[in-house]
Amino acid sequence: MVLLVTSDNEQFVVDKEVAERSVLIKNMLEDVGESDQPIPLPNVSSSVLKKVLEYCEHHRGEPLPAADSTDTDDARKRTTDISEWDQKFITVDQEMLFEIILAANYLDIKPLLDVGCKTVANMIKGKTPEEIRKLFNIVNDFTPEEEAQIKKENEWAEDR
Amino acid sequence: MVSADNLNLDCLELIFAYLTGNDLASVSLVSGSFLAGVVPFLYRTLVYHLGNAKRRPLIMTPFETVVQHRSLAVHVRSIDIRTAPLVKGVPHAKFMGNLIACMRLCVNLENFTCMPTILPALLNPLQDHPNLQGLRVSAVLTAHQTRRLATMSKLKSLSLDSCSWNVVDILPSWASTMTMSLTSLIFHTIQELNDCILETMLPHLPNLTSLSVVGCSKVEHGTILHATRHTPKLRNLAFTVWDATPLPPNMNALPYLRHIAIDTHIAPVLNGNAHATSHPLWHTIIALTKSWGCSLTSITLRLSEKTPISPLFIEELLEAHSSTLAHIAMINFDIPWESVKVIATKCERLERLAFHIPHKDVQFYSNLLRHSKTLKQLTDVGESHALHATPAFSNRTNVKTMMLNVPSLQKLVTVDRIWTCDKSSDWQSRSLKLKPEKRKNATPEHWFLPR
Amino acid sequence: MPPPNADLATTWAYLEEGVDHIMTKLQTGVSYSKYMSLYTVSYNYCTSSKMHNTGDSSSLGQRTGANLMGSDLYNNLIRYFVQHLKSLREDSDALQDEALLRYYAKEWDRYTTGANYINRLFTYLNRHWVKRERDEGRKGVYPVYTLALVQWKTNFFLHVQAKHQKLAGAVLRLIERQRNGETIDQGLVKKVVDSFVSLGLDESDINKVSYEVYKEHFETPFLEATENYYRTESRAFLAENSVPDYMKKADERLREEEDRVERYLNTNTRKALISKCEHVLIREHSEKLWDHFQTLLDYDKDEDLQRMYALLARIPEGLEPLRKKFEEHVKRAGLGAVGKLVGEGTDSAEPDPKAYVDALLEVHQKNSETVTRSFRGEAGFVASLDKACRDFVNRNAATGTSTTKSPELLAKHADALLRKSNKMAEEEDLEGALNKVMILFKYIDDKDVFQSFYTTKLSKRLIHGVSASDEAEASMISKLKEACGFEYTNKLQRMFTDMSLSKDLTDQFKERMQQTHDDMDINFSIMVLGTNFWPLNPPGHDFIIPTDILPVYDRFTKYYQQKHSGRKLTWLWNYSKNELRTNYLNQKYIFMTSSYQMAVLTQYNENDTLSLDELAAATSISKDLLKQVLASLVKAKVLINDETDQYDLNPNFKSKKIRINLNTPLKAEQKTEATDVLKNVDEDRKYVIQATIVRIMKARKTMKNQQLIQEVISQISQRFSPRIPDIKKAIDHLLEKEYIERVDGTRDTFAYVA
Repeated sequence: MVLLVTSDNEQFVVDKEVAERSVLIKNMLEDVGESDQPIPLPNVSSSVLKKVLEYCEHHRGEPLPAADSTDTDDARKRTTDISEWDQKFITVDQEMLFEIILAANYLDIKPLLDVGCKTVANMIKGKTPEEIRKLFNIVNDFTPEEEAQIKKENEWAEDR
Repeated sequence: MVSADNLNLDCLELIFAYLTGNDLASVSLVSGSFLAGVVPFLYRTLVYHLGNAKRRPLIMTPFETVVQHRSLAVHVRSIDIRTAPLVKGVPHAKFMGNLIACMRLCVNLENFTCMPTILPALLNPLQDHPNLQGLRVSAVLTAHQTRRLATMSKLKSLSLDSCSWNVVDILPSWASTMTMSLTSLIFHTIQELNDCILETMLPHLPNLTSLSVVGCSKVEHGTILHATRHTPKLRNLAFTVWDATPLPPNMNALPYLRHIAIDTHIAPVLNGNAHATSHPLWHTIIALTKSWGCSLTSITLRLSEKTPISPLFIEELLEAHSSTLAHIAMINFDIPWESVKVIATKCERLERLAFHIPHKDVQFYSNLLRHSKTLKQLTDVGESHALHATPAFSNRTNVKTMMLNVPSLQKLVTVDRIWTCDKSSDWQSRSLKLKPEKRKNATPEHWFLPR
Repeated sequence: MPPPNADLATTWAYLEEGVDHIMTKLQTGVSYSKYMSLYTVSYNYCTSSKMHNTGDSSSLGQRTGANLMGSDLYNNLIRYFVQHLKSLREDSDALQDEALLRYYAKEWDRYTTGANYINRLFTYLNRHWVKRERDEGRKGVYPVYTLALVQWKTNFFLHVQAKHQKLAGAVLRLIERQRNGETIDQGLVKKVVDSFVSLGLDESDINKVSYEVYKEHFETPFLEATENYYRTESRAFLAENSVPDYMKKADERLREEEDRVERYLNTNTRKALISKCEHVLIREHSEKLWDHFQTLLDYDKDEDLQRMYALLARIPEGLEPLRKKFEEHVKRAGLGAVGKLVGEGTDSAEPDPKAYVDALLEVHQKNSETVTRSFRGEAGFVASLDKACRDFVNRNAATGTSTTKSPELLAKHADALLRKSNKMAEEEDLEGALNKVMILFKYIDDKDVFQSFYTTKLSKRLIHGVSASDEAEASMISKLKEACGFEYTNKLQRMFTDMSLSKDLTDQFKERMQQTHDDMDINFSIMVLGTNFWPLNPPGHDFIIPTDILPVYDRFTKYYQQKHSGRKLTWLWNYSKNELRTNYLNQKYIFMTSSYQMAVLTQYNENDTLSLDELAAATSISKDLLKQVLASLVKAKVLINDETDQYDLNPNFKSKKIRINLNTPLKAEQKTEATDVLKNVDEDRKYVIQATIVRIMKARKTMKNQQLIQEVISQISQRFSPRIPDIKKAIDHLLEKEYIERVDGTRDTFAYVA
């Protein structure tokens, strides 16, 4: 068992096997060696860690992806399919979705990061720029001239 | 608070990695941070196809954009040119100027595709990329130009779509410089290619994993198959059969073969019964693949004219490979309904199936296909000689019928549309959400390659 | 711990302290919270790149996408490594040899362990900034661990090496000391050598191992030193020691070097090192080794031969001279053995078959054992042995120029083995002796000559009932069949069939006679032998069948004609035997005779004295032969020949034995046997050649002369070596008989006539 401490100082006692879905924690345990010291996670809040641990618990024991599989080409080729459990798991509000992505990135949990990013990508697919802004509540920080310029320069990429 | 807008850039990039085409273009217009995150993907592949040409000069070419913003060039890995704008039959000067300048700037270029006949003008900038890995061109070149093309010695994949005899002539010696690197080789509709060139070329390429010789009328299928004794690592093989010549004896085994595509141009043998037809050669090839112990995951068969096909052949195919086949495509086949059922029942790993589905019988076929527990994508290949006929799945009712009856189905590709539907968790209790997309493919891959 | 949005100076100050701790004081430990803080600080810094921060919209022109944070951290890491390595370099300056190696190895361990740690702490830098830079084609940007190695190489390793290869030199001196027999710290050597491998870097793919550094800084000088060392050593050693001692030494050295690779070198060096050693230790002295080979053979130095074989087998073409010498050696031994035998033989005419065969076998066996034991049964040596044996078996002092003598002697030896008179104690001994016959048989060129002699001898054994055992006969035939095929033994097998049929026939005839005639006072048995299978000829003259046996003769002839009408019986009186009982003497004797002797003796049932002419008239035997028959009876003292051509029955005949064998072979018969056999062989050969030509032509339809001759030779050489003039003669004969014809307009092309 390992003891995880979140940014808001909440403690989580979890199986080593579950905690080691995080490559960060796995590497640290390997490097430093095991002890009963608490492991501080200054970048993760308790509400997010709870969610992340739920994911790790469900996927415990599955093979970890190879260390160098971050190739963007691979990501491109992989489909945006998401398994049924993961789909349900990731059905959360936008803020939690982004928090999960950040936590997965920080803790180095590649499969979870992928699920999060795929979900956001699926949300974007087929939408106009304005629809995307609305979806994510983003302010358009381009001037009309800039927008026209960018549109002109990148229009070639549209399949028409 | 975290939001899409202030998500760190690494994560934005990971998200954008899953997007293509239109979506990337849309994202670039959202905001400054989105633009910054999307640029590496948007400029990874520069394409220029018929759609671009039609809208010229209203829109900028990607090459012009790169020339104006040189810092974009570092992201470019592929350039894919499917057409060139012509002015009085001559390539547009400004277009060519920008293209050449752009190619020089793209130091990380890995793949280059050029289908129009403007290759001679591009040989100079192409030579700035001696480490190029993928090349697909139609190469009508002079002898001098050919020698310059053949200096590319680190190619991993080479695809020639029609080329002049100069190029065919240099192939054996060019191949000998690519022994270590080349793994994929495609010859498509090259009338100058002959048995002898192929026979002298392949011994230099022991590392080939993919070989396609399709539509090259001077190359016998027997020669191609016999020559594969030099390329024992093949995973993909595609070829055209022009006549009924039997295979040479003592074929070498290709134990790693996973995909095979056969383009057949001979009239089928009719055994009296209109349904009992097939090519003896197909039987031989299936028997061969069985004897090699290779586990085919994909097969594509195409006929030159629409023909009814014998259920016996399908049975033989399945007997040999039903446990591994994930993809079956039959183009221009009149496939008996019994065989569709057998395929759905016996292929435990079938994910993608492509054949012509008569639009009157959608209900009937959906009942046959529901026997498959794994089928994810169904493609209606239509009738190639009857493009004017009503496309089978043009209406939503048909698509819905199919989606509802085949539980695992997620994607339906018809002649003009791609229908996807969200079937996660409790979809059966809700009304089915269908999402149609227009089917556009400005940069199509060869039909005979594995998907 | 600095806050997430801390600037570079604050961030690096914090990180540098941690990095230094890990690189220099790792043994004091790191806490989880320290580890996590260091990771988090570097993570926060790397993820602080947001478009917002880079500010205004004028950056639109800046289309590199995001400006990922990381280069500052990366550069600071480089500065740290350079500084750190500078102090190591200074500390090492004064060190030499083993002390230097110890220092280097210790620091290498500490440095790589620390660098591994730091690499993980900066995972995020690796995953994003470094990856992006490398993707975009920037040279000289590496993941942190690789960066550490690159820095070690340029700022420490190359500096030390620049001073006369101080590091590699120290390693080489240690290895030389070990070669000289000293004990060294192999672990130390291994550590240093392994570091050379780690420092190799493939610029295009950092996951690939490059042996460039190892090769340049260690392998090349190492191989050079090895070559010099062993060249000097081997020359000096050979100057003072014998070749066998040198081979022992070389063998040992080669094993030591194999071992060295295992212990502390990179396995890739094995091939180059061993082939270098083989060149210096074996190739450069191969002449000496070859020259010594004969001596080892002469004195049966088994172990040394084995060693020489093993050594020379390692270099290309090393064995060929040995194979040639061995072939000559065996041939010499074979010829010598036969020469000795012929020299000591009492009559120089012909050696005793057994002595001859034994002499040949002894040479074969001895050398065959040498091949198996010393040369590991290597195919090249087996071929040399076979070639030498073929040479001396077919042509030696006993055979002269004749190639038929050896097969004849071998067949005679086989005959002796298979006769009742042979006293082989156990079945196995006989079987073993027959197997040895087969060893020589394999080398015989004229297998058809052996076949003819064997057939003749076999027929004698069967007719005279002197074969030792049916099993041994069958075993020998099956061996021949295995060696030469069904055709070769077909006749032999038929002879056995005839024998058993004849036994049945005799029994049946006897039974019949008991039923129809009860006056049969003559014991009678018959052999009916197929003309084509037996090498027997009927007598060349008339013979008046003695009246005493005429009734039996008539009855059997009738009986046989009844049974097989149309078959012709030819009586081979010259091979028949009889037993006669005397009743003219006090003591009753039994004479075992030939039919001719019987015909003569029965004449004395009516007369006591007969002249040669009278006997000739009564028996119809030619006078020449009759004289020999009479001489044998006179010699046995049954007849007395006091006056010329006058033969009287000896009334005072006496003998210690009751059964007396008068049937000794006649001299004339013995002499003609060998010539007859050879004449038959010649006839057979003619026939075989013709038959072969016809068979070939039937298959090929047309053929050129030269081609045809080649084909005939290749098809027949299994049985004998046909002479070209004989083949030409056969072709002419077939042209004449119109089996084949010349193709019109050609001189040398033949066509088959259907």
